[in-house]
This record gives sequence, structure tokens and C-alpha cells, in this order.
Amino acid sequence: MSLRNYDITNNMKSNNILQEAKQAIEQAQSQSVLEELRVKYLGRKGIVAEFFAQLTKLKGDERARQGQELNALKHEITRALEQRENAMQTLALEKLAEAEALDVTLPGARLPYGHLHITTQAIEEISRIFAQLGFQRMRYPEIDWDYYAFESLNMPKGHPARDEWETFFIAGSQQTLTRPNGHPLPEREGRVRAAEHPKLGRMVLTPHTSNGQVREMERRRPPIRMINIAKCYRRQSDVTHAPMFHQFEGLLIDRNVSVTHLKGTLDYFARAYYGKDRRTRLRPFHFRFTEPSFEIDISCGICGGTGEIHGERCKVCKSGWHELGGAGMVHPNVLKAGGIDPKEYSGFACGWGIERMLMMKLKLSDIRAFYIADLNFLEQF
Amino acid sequence: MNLMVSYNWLREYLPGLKASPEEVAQKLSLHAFSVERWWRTDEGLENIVIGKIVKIEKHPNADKLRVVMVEVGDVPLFATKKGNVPIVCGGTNLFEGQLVAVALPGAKVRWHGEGEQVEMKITEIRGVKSEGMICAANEIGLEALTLHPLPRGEGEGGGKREILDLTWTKAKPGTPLAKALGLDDTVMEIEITTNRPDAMGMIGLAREVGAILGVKFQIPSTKFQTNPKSQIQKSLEVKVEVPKLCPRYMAVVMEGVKVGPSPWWLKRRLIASGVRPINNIVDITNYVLLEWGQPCHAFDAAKLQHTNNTRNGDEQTRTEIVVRMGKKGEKILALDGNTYDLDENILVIADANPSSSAKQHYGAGRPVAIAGIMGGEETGVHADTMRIVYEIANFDPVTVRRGEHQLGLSSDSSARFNKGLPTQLPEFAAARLAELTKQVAGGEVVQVVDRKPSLGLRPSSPLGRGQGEGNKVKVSPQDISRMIGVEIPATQMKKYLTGLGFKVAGSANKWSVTFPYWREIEAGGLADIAEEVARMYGYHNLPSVLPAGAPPDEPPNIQFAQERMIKEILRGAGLTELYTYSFISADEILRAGLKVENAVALQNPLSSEITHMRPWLGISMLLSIKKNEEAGKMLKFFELSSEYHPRMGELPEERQKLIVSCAGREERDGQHFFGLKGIAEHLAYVLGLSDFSFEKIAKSEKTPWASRYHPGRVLLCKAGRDILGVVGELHPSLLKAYGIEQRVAFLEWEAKVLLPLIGSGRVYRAPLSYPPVKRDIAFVAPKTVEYATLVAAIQQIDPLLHKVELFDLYEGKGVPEGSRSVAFHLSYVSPERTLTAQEAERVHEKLVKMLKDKFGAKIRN
Repeated sequence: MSLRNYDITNNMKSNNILQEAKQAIEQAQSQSVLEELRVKYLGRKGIVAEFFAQLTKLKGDERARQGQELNALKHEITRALEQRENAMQTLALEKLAEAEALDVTLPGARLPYGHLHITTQAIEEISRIFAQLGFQRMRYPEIDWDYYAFESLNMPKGHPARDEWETFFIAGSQQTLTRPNGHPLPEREGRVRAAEHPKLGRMVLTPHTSNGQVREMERRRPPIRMINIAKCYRRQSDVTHAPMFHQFEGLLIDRNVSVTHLKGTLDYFARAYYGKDRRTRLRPFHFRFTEPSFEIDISCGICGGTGEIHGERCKVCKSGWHELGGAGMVHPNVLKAGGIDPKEYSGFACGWGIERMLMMKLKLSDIRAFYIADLNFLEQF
Repeated sequence: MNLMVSYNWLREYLPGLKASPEEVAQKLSLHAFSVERWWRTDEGLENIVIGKIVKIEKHPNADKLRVVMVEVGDVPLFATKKGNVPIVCGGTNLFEGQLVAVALPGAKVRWHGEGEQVEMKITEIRGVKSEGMICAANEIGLEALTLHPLPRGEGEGGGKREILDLTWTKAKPGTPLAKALGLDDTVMEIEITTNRPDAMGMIGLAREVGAILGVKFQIPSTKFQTNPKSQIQKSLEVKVEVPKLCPRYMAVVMEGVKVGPSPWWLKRRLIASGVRPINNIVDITNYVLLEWGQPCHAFDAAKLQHTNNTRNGDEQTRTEIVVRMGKKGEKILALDGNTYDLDENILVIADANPSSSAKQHYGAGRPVAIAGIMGGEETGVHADTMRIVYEIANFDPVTVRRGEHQLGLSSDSSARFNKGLPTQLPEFAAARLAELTKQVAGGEVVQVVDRKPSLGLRPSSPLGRGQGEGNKVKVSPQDISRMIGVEIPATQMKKYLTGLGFKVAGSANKWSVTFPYWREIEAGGLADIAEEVARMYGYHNLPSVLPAGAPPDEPPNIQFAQERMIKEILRGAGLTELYTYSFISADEILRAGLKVENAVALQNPLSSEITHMRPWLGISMLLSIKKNEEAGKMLKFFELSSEYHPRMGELPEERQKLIVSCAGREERDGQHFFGLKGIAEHLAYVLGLSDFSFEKIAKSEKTPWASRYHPGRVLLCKAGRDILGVVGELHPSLLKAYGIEQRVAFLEWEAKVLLPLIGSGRVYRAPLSYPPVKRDIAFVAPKTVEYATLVAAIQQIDPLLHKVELFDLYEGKGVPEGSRSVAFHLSYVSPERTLTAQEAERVHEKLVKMLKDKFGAKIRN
């Protein structure tokens, strides 16, 4: 196309150019064609620029009129280009799904899977719930003196209640103690390691977490709100008993503490841990270190504590309730052992086995699965 | 102690009881004792009735069978006429007029007592219609009826092909069998808590149920029925040598008893209670134990050694019972068939020494019973016994319990004695024994001895209260209410207490509450009284209230949050947490190359696998790796748990340790090591440890890890000067000892050192105000120059050098043998101004020169 054809003096109507340009723009199928057209018409050496250059040939009114017409032409072409460009973009977006398709069903870039032991998770959850009520978690020895495990808990020497805990005792040693590097310890440090204290009695593996009770009372004055979650040991091993297990123990001592406060605390736990519809029930029981003592039941999650579903006995609980653990008001003798005046203060203690609680929640049948380091078991959590 | 309780028996003491067994069970659980389960005793006896044999005829087609017409009462569906049904039967002991158990269609039976249960149907046997079955005992689960011979006429038919003869029941034909045998009952299994030996018998339990349900409770009258005309002999003498350990000893001598099987009603109750019937005399002692909770024992008087003295020409035969401590060397053959060695810790009942004179009787004779635990076989009651001595005594609970432990022997009796029984009980039990014996076995009471050497002088045992303390408690109803947390009217409280046998006296605010004798062992203070009131009110009826008052004013114990953080970081890094037993075996300790005597040993191990507390957490980790080795996976575990180290004169140290492990087949050498080194760096970074560094361990160093770790693949981990522990591969010889074939690496840190350092390196630095100038540098250096040495030298070059980051490490083609190519990203920055390219270039040139001069590096482009 030669510019001569568009000699402005030939009285050529810019209209024709406009139509020609619009048609070309309309038919453009790609961004590059569109760009070519833009250069052709609106470029520095384009047709419109050429016309503007020729304006100098005209005079007076004619020049002004043609000038206006040219501006209008430039504007129209610009608009046409923009419109076409927008239209093409819309079209492209419509086809985006096909044009840039990924097989999104391929697996994600996998991060390594790690697993926290289910006991850790339960301990964390219980701690968090009791922390809301101001209970502080503490840690006390797993190997402790008889005094803390039994004597101070109102179980004097020779008491038959001690038989209920299948207790492991620590043996004394006659051998020479050596340092880890194999060198014997100096003579003055003695050669006989006794597993007995003149006042505190024998060393035992704590069969429960209640050894923390008097230790906590010795550590601080009331108010006391303490939880102790720790490993416990008993000489038994079967489907429901492992020689090592974890127990939870809660202790609260303050002025005017009554049974209703124990109940309130347990109900709070039941709602937080098991669900808002769950509640607890206390039944009479006997422990030496609490008086009165209770067994704690938790309402069945299936039948809601009624023991019945559509008129038939609930198959899960059979009675509406599951046994959770034990509790009671701290025995005055235990308070006294902790140096606390039972006339001024009272308190409650409660506790249960973590594994038992989890077995109930997860419907596990063998407690020993927890501690045999079986990868298939551990990878579920 | 779990007690099996017959509902019908219980009701004997509660004539007004209307509540169903289920209701009783529920109320007991809520107010007193947990009822763990209950079951009907007539289960499986449905559609079995008493039938009367009307006519016996020969079977036309079989020699050994009979066609029996049996009257089964009003069973309209099956009766041919007037309640008579024809039954084909092979029993050999049938006679007309005999009462038998008839299984009607629908009943469940076990043919000849074998195989699965089958449902009865009307059938034809060899062409003759049979509408039921005349049962043998083992076909309907009633072996108990024939296991031990019953008195004549009762339950005959234990022989082969013999049917169960129930003529003795005198039941009307058509009576359900269960009803005729008194098996229309419910048995509850109840857990009686150790503080309530008073409820370890039907009477105590009935008293409790009566108080809970408000039903009047009746004890059968118990008075001695001695025949005044019969000559009362004084031939038995009881000596108690250790009064403190035997506060009361009653002996009842009965003559003319006839030993034999017990009647069905007695057997039935024993069976329901889980006690095996033996003979009438032994059964009676068990019955009284079950009823009163007072253990009793029967001696054959003739078998007790006696002394013969001649006084004034008359020969006197005297039997002696001596309560004394055992002696070293003494033995006894107990009723369980085992022989037990006795010594001075065991309380025994001994008889007289026949050769000794009256003056020498103390300490003589032989043990005839282990006091409170078990009687001796030689002096027990046998079929030919005619004269018996009943022992109804009270023994010291601690002594009994110690005896049980020492001998490894316990019984229903010792289980009650070791809880502490009231000294008042024997007189009731003695009267009941005499009464039942007369009724069941005949005979007369000829002597009653009652020794109360220390009654009212309770030993200061842990079960009771201190000497001299009474059984009265001063309390106020207000205190009781405060302890329970609800207002309960004083009159209501009083009602609860008196219902249980407590006596309440005093003014409105000052009560004096007296414990009944059967609850004396519990007598304490306010808490005991509040407990009684609260449980009768019902714990389940108490409101739920959150504790008021301020929580303890104390900052939280952060170690738990820190432990949790460590665990979360490791979980996020793809590791699996383990929990393993804290104990291991001596063998495992030796295999780890450690000394057994340096580990905390258990005195009473559970098994040969559980003998010591682990002295090194790594042992548990190695065992876990070995266990999972076959899975063929990469094993990435961690455990944060204790090790146990003995200390002189104090409790062992429970040292918390973190062990992270990598095991399984490596894809390239050093993979586990560098994986864990990366974990160490990651932990140090996320936990914010200050001045974290690794340090090589000199070969000469004698650290605990020297022998456990691979000498060329281990690093000390430090934060500042604190040694956290090590990261390294385990020594091949240690792995070999554990049978692990692949390489294993551990990160082993002390929690005690680690926890206080968490967050120590988190120092706030203002963001960089001026842009850094970035440069890369790549050079070839000899491999003998360690990476750490290079980095240290580069970092020291100039304060403007801000960051050094390794991005490539290469050796092989294009790089001379013995050298490697190393490339770093470097960034230069000034805290005061924007660096010019020239300034950065100057430092860079200095660096290049240093690398060339110091390490002979060749810079690559």
C-alpha cells in the first residue's frame, strides 16, 4: 500500500481509511497481527502520521477541518485496536483451562510424615484442659521412697491396701559403684548402695502418680492446683495391664473445697475432652488416701447415659456409663502428712490411666500395643 | 473382694423387699458398692418342667428303650390327654411315680452332655412318637446336682444312662424345673471395698440394702440351743499364748454329728456364691462365713491329739487347742493338699502333745491350722467324723496378711481376716453354726469355750485406731454440709446415719456420732461421717460447681511446653515418636557394653526381660530399630524419656534424654549421619540455641560415647561452652551385638542441658537498612582442607562480609584428583551506608588472595 494513494490533497475521505483499518483489525487473529496494524496506522511513520504531515499543504479552514478529522480517525483506530485486544484476551482466558492444563490429579510434593505418640497427644490435651482451670503440670520421681508412695498416703507399713498395687521394689547393691567411664568411685563415696532410707523407707517404682500429692504439699502452700502425668509401674502384664503405663493425677487444695467442686471439675473435663454432651457420675468407692472416695463414670457417647437405644440395651456400655477412674476428698491424714491443717483446708484428688482412657476412646483392646514400638501402630497417629 | 450374691438369699433378711434385682443392683452401685454384673440362674432351663412318670412300657422296636407316659401338668399345646405326654427314653433308673426333668419342645439340651446345644422337637424314635425328653443332669447343665452325692433320694442319677431323679423335690408336675430347684434367682457380682468387711457377708449386705432402699432388715434369731439334759463336758481347753494377735477364740464342741452331703438348698446357695460344696459340716462353716462374714473352721475332735491324765484314779482325756506362733522347722499339710513350712512369723493353732504332762502343754503339740488362713488336712472333717470342734475366732489382720504373703496362700477366710473383723461377730456365728449343724447333720453342743484375752484392748494396728480412742466422733451437721457442698437437713442426715446403725446424740449443732461395732475399724472423723451421709444422699445427686478461689500464683512450668516444642519440631521433620518400657534385662545392658551393677535393679523382677531400669535410652532405641528392621523402611524414630542412674544415699537420677535415630538401608554413604546432623542444625535453629556448633571428638578422649559411636563419624554438639551431646553413627561392634546389619546414626542430647538453652540465641537485630552486594565465588581446593576450616577462614576476612552460603560441592571429572570444587554465595553489606560495587570488590579480592595463599585454591570462573 503506497502512501500516495492517500494523498490528502486528493480529497480522499479519511472514512475509507477508517473502514479499511477497522476491517483489518476485526479480522486480526493474533497479538502480533494486531501489533503490525497498530504500527501501520498509528506508528511514527504510519498512515495517520503521514496525513498529519501532509496537513501543512492545506490552508485555513480546510486545514483545521482536516486536522479535526484526522484526530477523530486516530481516536477511532485506537479504540478499535483496544476493543479487538480485549476481545482476544477474553477469548484466550476462555481457552485457558485447555491451553495450560496440568494433570492436577498427580500427587502433591510430599513433605515427610512424622508422628507424635498417642500418649503424648493425650497428655497434651489433658494438660491443656486442666490448665484452663489453673492446674499446673508438675513432674515427680518415678522411683520414689515408700513414704511418698504409701506411708504419707494413709497406708502405714503392713497395711493390706498396699497389696492392691503390684509394686516393684528397687534392690540394693553390694557391688562397687563405677563411674560411666569404668573407673571405680572413690572409697569415701561408699561401696554399698542401699535401696532404703532410714526415715522414708524402701525405694519403689511408683505404682501410681499419687506420690506427687505430699511432695506438692511440701513444695508449696495452698492454694494448690496441680496435675501430675507420669509413668507408673506395676508387676502385671496382660491384655489390659502393662507393667509400665501412664497415670493422670489432679490435686486441688484450698479453703472450703467440697465434693461439688470435684464434680464440677470432672464435668468440665468430660465436656472438653469427650464432647459437650458428656457428663460424669460419682459412685462410692474406697481408697486409703481419700475420704470419701469415688469411682468416676463417664456417660456413654452412644446412648447418652441412658443405657438404651430405641428401647434396647446399649451394646457399647450396657448401663449408660463407662468407668473412667478414681477420685476423692483428700484424707485428713494425707493433708497432715503434707503439713496442711485439715481444719483449715480441704481438697480433692482424681486420677486415671491414660492408656485406659485412650483404649476406651479408640476402641483398642490390647494395652501392650502402646509400648512395643510397632511402626504400623505408631504411624496411625 | 468380689462377692457373688443371690437375690433370693438376700431377700430372706429383707422380707419387705419389692425392688427387682436390677433395681437393687443399680441402687447398690450408686450408694454403696459397684455391682459389676448380674445373671439369672435359670438361664437355659426354659421349657424344662417337672414331670411325673405315670406308666412305663417296653418300646415295640427297641430292647433298650422304653415308652414312658409322663404327666407334665397343664401344657395345652403338647399334651395328648390331661397333660400326659409320651416320651421314648433309655434311662435305666425309671420307676412309676418318679419325678423327673422333662425337656419339652423348645427347650435347649445337650445330648448326653456332649456337643452343641440343640433345641427339642417332637420326633419319632423307631416308629414311636416322643414329645419330649427325660433329662440326665449333664444334659441340662445341672451337673452340680450330682457332682457330690446328695442325701438319699436327692439328686440320684449321676450314673451313666441314669436320668435325674427329682422325686425329693415333691414338686407338682408341670412346675418349671428352675422353680422346683430354687433356681429362679438372680446372682449379682458385687465388688466390696476393702474398708467394708462388714458387708462381706449376706447379713451386712442386707443391712446396707435395707438402709439404701428403706426396707426393714431382720436377722434370724441366733441363740444357742443346748440341751440342758445332755451332759456338758469340759474336755476341751483353749490356751491363747499371743492375746494381742488373737483377741477372741470361741470353740464349740458338738457330738453325734453325721457327716454326709448337704441338702440341695444349702448346696444351691454355696454354688450361687461360687463355693464348691464338700460335705455338710464344711458346707455349714462356709455357709456361716457367707452369711455373717465370720470365718469358721471345723476340726475332727478325734484327730486332735489329746493328753491322758490320771487324777484321783480317774483317767481324764483332755483335748487342747493352743494359739501360738509357729516354730522354725514345723510343717503343716493344709486342706489344699500342699505342705507349708512354718516359722515364728506365722500364727498357728496347735493341739496338745500327747506325751507331755498338763504342766508342759505350752508350746507343745503340732500345728493343726494356719490361723485365719487354712486348716490342716489331718485334723479336717471326714466321712467318719462324729465329734467336731468348731473354731470361731478373731485374728490380727496384719499377722494374717503377713502369713498370706510369706506362704503365698490365701483363702476366703484370710481375705476377710486381713481386713480386720469385729470381735463381736464370733458369738453370732457360733450360735448359727450350732443351729445349722443340728438341723442338717444332727448332734448336740457339748461344750462352748469363749476366750476373750484382749477384748476391748485393741492392738494398735494400722487398721484400727490408736489405743484408747473411742468409736465416737464429734461433728456438726453444718460441717458435714460444708464438706459435701449442699445443704442437707439435719433430720435427713440423722435418718441416713441411724439407718446404717450409727447412733446420733447431742444438741442441734454438736453431734456425737457412735459407730456401730461392725464399722469400728473405720471410725475416724468428720470425713467418715460426711461420706456416709453423702453416699446415702447420692453422689450422683450432687450439683456440679467449678472450684472458686484463685489459682496458685506461680509462673507455669515451661519445661513441658519446651518438651512439646522439641517433639513437634521432630514430628514436622518426619520422625516418629516412640515410647518404650523404662526397664530392660541385664543381658541388654551387657550387650550395650555397660556394667549391670551401675544400673538400678529391681528387687522383684516381673520376668527375665524386666530386671533393671535402663541406664541408657539408646538400648531401647536399638531394640526398637531391631524390631522394625524387617519392614525394610527408613526408620526415623525419636524418644524423649528418662535414663536411670543410681546415686549413693538418695533416689536414682532420672535423667531425661533425647535420642533421634536414623536407620535402614542408606542410598549413599553418610546419609544417616548427615540426615541427623541436619536435624541437629534444624533443632538448634528453631529452638534458638545460642552459638550452636559441632566439634570433633579427639580419639584419645574417654567419654561415655567413645565406645558407642563410630570414631570417624561422630561430632560433639555444643551451644556456647555447654555440651548438648553427640550426633554420630553407632559403633559397628555395638550394632553387631544387637544383630543390626545396616548403619544406624543417633542424635543424643541431654534434656537437662538443652531445655535451659532454648531461646538463648534469639537476639533481635534490626532489619538491614542498606542493600547487600551479592557475589559468588567458586574455587578448587585440596580435599584435605575441611569445609569447616574454609568457612571459618572466609568468615574472618572482613566485617563487611555478611553471609556465606555453600551452594555447590563437586569432585570428579574436570577436577584434579585429591581436590574438590567448592562454591559459595557471598553477600557484603555495611550497617552504615550503601556499599559501592568497588568497596565490595576490594573485599572480594582480599578473599580470593587469602584462599590462594592459605589453601592453594584455584579460582574458577
